[in-house]
Amino acid sequence: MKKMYFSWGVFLMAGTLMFSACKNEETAVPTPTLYARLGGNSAISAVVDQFIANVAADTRINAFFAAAASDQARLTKLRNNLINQIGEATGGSEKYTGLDMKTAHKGMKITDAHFTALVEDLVASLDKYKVGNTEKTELLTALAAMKGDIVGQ
Amino acid sequence: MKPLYNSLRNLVFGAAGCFVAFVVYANWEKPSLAESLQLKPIELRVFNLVGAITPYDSLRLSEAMLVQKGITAVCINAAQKTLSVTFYPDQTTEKQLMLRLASVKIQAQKVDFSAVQGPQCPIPMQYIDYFTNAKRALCFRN
Repeated sequence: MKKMYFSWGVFLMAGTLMFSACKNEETAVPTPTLYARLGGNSAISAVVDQFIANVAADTRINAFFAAAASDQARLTKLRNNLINQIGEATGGSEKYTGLDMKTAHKGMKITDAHFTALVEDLVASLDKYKVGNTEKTELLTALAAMKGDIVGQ
Repeated sequence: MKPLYNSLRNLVFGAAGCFVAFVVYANWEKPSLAESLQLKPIELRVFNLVGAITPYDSLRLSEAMLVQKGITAVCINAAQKTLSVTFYPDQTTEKQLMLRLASVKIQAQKVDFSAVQGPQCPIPMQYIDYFTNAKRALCFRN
């Protein structure tokens, strides 16, 4: 009799475990990355092209980009590096393979005013493509972390 | 004869080892975002605008530029009187941009950045290009 009760107990426990394992668990929907919310590849390259145009027209800082502006190969390299950097900073899968910011800006004597001018040009390019305030703030926060490596080098 | 043969053999093995190391380096990481996008190259032209630029002038100029085929971005900085344009060189030319400017009766002078004394990279671009083109050619992860 005891053996029978024990067997029934094991049987019921096994059944409970089996049916509870079949229950549909709600899977969490992953939050899209900032990269995806900005619009992915094509959006980032369009924003970068506009950013380059804005910087080139800004007499406060366009002298820093004179080498890139006068040489198509350097311009292409700058453009590609910007695309890679923004893509990586916003959670894209690809990597930025250019120089680190400190090395890239060494000796340029960039000031806070120059950096601010650059950020204004970037904001203008984001506004042109109607990037939302949330995404804009997230992107600028991610890039603002580089300020220490750019200014004062 | 033997020392020459040994030197030659070491040189060949050294070169082969360097080549294999370069191939490994070229395939170490996935191609960058910009490489995977395979974007067409762009060119950039910047012009100084002559005379006062009103908001109406900016609008006319912007509209004139944006209908030109091949233009990817336009920036009109009325305060600093500059216009910059990025475009695909296989679809439009500097001459066509100048014609567009003339069509809206705005005088402009091209800015020659080669004359601007900005920071210069000491390494000639040809060396960097050769290295990056070789790396791209030997990457089998495209």
